Amino acid sequence: MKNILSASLVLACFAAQPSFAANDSDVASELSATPILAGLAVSECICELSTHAVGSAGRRMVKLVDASGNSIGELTSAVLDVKGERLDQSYAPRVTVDKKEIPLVVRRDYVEMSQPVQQK
Amino acid sequence: MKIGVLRLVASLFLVVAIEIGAPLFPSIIIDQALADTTQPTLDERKLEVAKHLTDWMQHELLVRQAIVAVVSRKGGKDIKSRDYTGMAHSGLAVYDPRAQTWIVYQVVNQPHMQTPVAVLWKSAPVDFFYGQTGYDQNALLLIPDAATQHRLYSSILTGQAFKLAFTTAYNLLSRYDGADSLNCNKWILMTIAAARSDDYDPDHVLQIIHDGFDPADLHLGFIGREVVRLKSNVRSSEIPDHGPVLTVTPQSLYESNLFIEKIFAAAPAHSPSVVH
Repeated sequence: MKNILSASLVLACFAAQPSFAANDSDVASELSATPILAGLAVSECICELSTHAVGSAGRRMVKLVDASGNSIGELTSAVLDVKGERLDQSYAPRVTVDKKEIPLVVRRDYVEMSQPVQQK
Repeated sequence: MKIGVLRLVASLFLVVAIEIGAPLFPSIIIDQALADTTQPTLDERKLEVAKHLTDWMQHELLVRQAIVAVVSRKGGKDIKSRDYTGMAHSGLAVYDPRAQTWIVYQVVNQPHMQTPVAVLWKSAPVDFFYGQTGYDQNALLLIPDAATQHRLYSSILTGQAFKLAFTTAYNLLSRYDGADSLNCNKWILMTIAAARSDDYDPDHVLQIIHDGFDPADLHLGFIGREVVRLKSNVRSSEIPDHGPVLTVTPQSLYESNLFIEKIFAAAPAHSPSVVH
């Protein structure tokens, strides 16, 4: 009995230690690897990008791709220059950064994307 | 008596095997990963949580016209013992007019040959939240002042923020002002410190952080220290033999004066004393 108690105490001692690796969740999401994007796609033009949507219950999941099928690239000043000319969203609130107006518009579906940053 | 001793030995072996077995037998893990070629199944419940938190984040940032903010996602239940926010992993949410949403930039651990490697990653909000531990519908937004947001945005546009990912050496418990390694929360702190000081040299930024940031101090007992050293996302050589581990956590960011608004999606179970 005494030894069982000792063993329990040892177990409790280990259990009380921080399990840092168990739940830090510091890895990239696995959503991209799931079959959710494997379904039938419907395209919709958003400026120079297309959205490929997957039918699902509720609001859609969409993936942003260019004409070559590549996913969205890095956000740069050049991107904002292009968007400034093409976007016509006069109703949207605007934030000005470095003399560039950025219209704040929020889409109703859900973008799906998870990829490494392409560093210059 | 002998049976009791055997039970004790068996219990100890079991605990040790669970706690440290995996790192000691990496080939088994690799073999299992190779054998498991099936596609991961979609966790519908987790996806619904992720969508809910995406809606919440977008709404909160839109009404404040915030183009950059820190977003933290939930960790497991035991994380509250060392971080009362309950959050574990953080990213920098940056508005992208092409995507018409905020894209989350973050440092993640992408292990290579059993070594933790820091990689800059970008995710849509729903992907970011899908990666959380558990199903709690909670997350944390930390919003800097407008001037800092604008500088942060510019640093993303120019790539200066990415240069602050100065090393590929990942360490979950990286020292807050050390040049040896990096993790998600430390990179965020560095980008904000750089934006506020308008100095993007990593060495200078680490000095600024050393001079002006109060890190989390994690106190580990002897056994805890040794167990932590065996974790695959911790660089054991960086864990001090004595004294607390000084690192950057969501709680230390939350308690800093770097943000003008701090918003939880839901009240944490152990509420911080002040929620703005």
